[in-house]
Amino acid sequence: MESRSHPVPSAAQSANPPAVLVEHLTKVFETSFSRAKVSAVADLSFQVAQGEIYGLIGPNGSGKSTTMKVILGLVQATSGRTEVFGIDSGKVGSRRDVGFLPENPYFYKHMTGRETLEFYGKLCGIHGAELRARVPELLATVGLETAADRSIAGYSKGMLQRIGLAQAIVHRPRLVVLDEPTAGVDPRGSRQIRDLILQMKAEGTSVILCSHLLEQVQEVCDRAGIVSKGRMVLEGRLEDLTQVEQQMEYVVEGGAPGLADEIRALVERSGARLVSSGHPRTTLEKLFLETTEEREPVSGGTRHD
Amino acid sequence: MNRRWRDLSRGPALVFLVLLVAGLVRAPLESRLLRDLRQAGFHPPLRGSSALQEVGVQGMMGALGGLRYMVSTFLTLRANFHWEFQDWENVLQNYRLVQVLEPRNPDVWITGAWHCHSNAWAWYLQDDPAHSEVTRRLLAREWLERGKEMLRQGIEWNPENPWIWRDLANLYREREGNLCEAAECYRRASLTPGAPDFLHRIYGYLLAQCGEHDEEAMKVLRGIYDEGLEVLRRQRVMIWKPSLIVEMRKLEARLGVPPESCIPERFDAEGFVIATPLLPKESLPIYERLLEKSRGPNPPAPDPALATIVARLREQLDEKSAVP
Amino acid sequence: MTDRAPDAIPAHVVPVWEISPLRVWVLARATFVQLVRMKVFYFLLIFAALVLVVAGAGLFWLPTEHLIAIKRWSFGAMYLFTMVYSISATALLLPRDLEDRTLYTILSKPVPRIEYLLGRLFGVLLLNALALAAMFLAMCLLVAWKMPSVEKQLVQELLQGAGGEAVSLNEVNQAKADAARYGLSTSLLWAVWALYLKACVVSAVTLFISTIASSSLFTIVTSAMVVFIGHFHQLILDFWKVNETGWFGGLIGRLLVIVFPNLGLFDVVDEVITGTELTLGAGLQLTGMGLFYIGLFVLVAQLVFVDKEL
Repeated sequence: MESRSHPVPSAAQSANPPAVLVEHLTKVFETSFSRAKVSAVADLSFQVAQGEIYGLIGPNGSGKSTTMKVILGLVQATSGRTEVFGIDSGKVGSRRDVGFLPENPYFYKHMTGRETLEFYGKLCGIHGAELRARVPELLATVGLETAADRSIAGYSKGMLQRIGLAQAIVHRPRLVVLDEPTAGVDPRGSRQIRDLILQMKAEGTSVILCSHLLEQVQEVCDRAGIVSKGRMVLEGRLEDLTQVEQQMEYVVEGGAPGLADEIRALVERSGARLVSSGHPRTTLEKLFLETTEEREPVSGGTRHD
Repeated sequence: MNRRWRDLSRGPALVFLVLLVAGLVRAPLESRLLRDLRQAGFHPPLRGSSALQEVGVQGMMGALGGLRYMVSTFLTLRANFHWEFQDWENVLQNYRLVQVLEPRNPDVWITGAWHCHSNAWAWYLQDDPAHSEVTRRLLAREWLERGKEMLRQGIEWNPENPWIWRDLANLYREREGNLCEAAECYRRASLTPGAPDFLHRIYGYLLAQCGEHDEEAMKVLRGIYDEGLEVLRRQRVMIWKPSLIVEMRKLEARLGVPPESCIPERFDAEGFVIATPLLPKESLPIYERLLEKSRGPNPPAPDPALATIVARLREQLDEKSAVP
Repeated sequence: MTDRAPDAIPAHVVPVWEISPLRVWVLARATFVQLVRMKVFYFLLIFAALVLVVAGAGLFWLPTEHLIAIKRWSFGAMYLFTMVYSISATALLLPRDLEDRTLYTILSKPVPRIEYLLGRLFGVLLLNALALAAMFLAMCLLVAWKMPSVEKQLVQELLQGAGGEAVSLNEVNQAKADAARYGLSTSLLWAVWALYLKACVVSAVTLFISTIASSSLFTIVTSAMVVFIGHFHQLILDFWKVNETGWFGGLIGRLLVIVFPNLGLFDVVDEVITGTELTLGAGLQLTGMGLFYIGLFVLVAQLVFVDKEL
């Protein structure tokens, strides 16, 4: 397997730093009593460009959440470098431009949906008229206008997810980290969230999407990384990752009439068989299973040791 | 900022070190504060009769923290409940607990002792149906002693309180007829800071009545008399109480004081005002009763000096009623 | 989210290298509302009922005892409220936020951890302050209402106590002054302030313990132990004077005194209720000591929390 080296300039010095830079990130936890060491993330590197949607996928316990927590400053790296827009993720300043939706979020049950958004908005420094304008706008965006003044305690899982998404973007962050954003959400709500992610992308917001719904990742992400046992095992553009290496697809424009017949005949003469006229793709799910079950991988992305 | 904090923090050892250093820094400050508070009358050093008792009292107070007053009031109410049923042992037990909780509150000693030397004492003497008269007398005596002991303990905890001394004095006077001991208790009461004047006066009366210290009694009462005379001359206000005249007359007779040194029969102070917190018409019956009691055997005439005062009081009453 | 230039940093964001009082206030207010909506103020109704019963009950023989009882039960209820809420409310906050992951959403905003701690602490302190103020006011109204009748009783008792003697005006005034000592005084303000300071210290201690603890229950039990030991300073010091504890016992005792807060120091209520006046100097020193303890325990809480893996 080839190792990808990151030609990473010093992000802080760069005029246009990546949204997220993770370089040789290692996180080792110590258990409380025996002080035994458990490696959660080992030498993980990747970066998310500004305006890019990056999918981070991996089986349970692969180190995805730990990686996200390091990016958000909730956990400190044992070694390695993590930056958000060129600022060390351990610094509070790095979170000025980050929105986060945790998996299965809970909010203060004593608050209504509106109060929740006001609360998080104020934490981000939004006050007064600006906040009063922003909150209804967000409620409309996530489709919770009618439930705005209901207590959070009465919200369904899908509603919680949507209010969670709204609080994540209350301060118009340049980077949004979403951990299983559609978990427990019905198909319609799921579609709404997907549309929102695409809308964010259209507005130039960078997104890190952690999801088990690989179809969703495939649908919205520009690039994805597959993490297993704390290591990046495969990373690349979605198109590259899902390409089938042993097969070829030619897209021809402006060919003479009969060119297709000639090609077909040529293929037959050579003893090959024409599978289809389009470029076949594997599914991300298949790729995921193959890579994380340590079987011979398909080619197309960048392998990481 | 976070990085700086992180560098600082090296686990529990650092936290312990910070607490330790802070503890050493605050120790002298706390000592100073405690000293100032004690000077102001707070957290007084314990005066229990033994070191073990001190530790026990503090332990109990500490264990209850700020709740001890609620517990103590509850125990007081429980004692009152037992009192309803003349369950004197339980009354005593509850008050003992209350006194452990609030040793510096004089009221708990006074009330606890009152249950013993008055309520239980009287019940055993008069109402106890279960025992013979001899036993009842013995039991009454026992409860009287308990009350006395409780007051003595209360004084040990609250040496600057006049009222426990007064109650002890009244116990000697009313229950035992020991007027000399009662006088001594009033003397101690009158010496406490801020004690009302009448404690000193009653000390003088009791000393006069006990019959063993007439000269000392005369000295005390003369002092009060002279002080009053000065006020009378200067302000035309009489602050003496009739009992002073009555007791001094008796002492004059017993000590054989020459007539020229005795209290004059008339006060050369026309139109003086008699100071009394009661309305003159309420005071008058008291004065008249004392005047009646002052009649000597031979001839059976009332004390002339006292008669002057009563006459003046009557005038004062008439003057008042004449005002439209 | 539709009108923002992609690379714009919101100008309203407060510089994060400073503790923002505004954000601390937002967190404190949220904490206060959270606790209020947990219906903690129902306790005030119980308090009102309690003091009214005590005020109305004819169970006390000495007139001053009645005033003292009103104040004692009021202060006892205040103590109970502040201690229970200081420990339980503070102990609930951090572990529950961690368990519910609300902490993730808060700390993934530009909120320094010290602000979160301060916000949570001040929320509890605000609740205690308002509840204490309401209870104190109710107590003062009751005492003021009872005062004239107690004064009258006390004067009558004086007249009877003088054994048939008429008493002077001066002595009556003395009796009235005595009654006033058992009534309302500025020292009562100091007493309630000292009680509040103690509650603040207990909250700060609980906050510190909750940064170490993994559950609310552990936090509550440990904090209660610290409060318990905190009342034994004088006992430990006195115990040394009268007992040979050996070097080991002495060392343990000294460590306890040095490391644990001296909460007994704030117990001035007893003397104030019975009429002792707290001087301004002593009151200010007590305030200083309270602030010292609060600062200390917020500091150690931050030392633990800043590195805590969430």
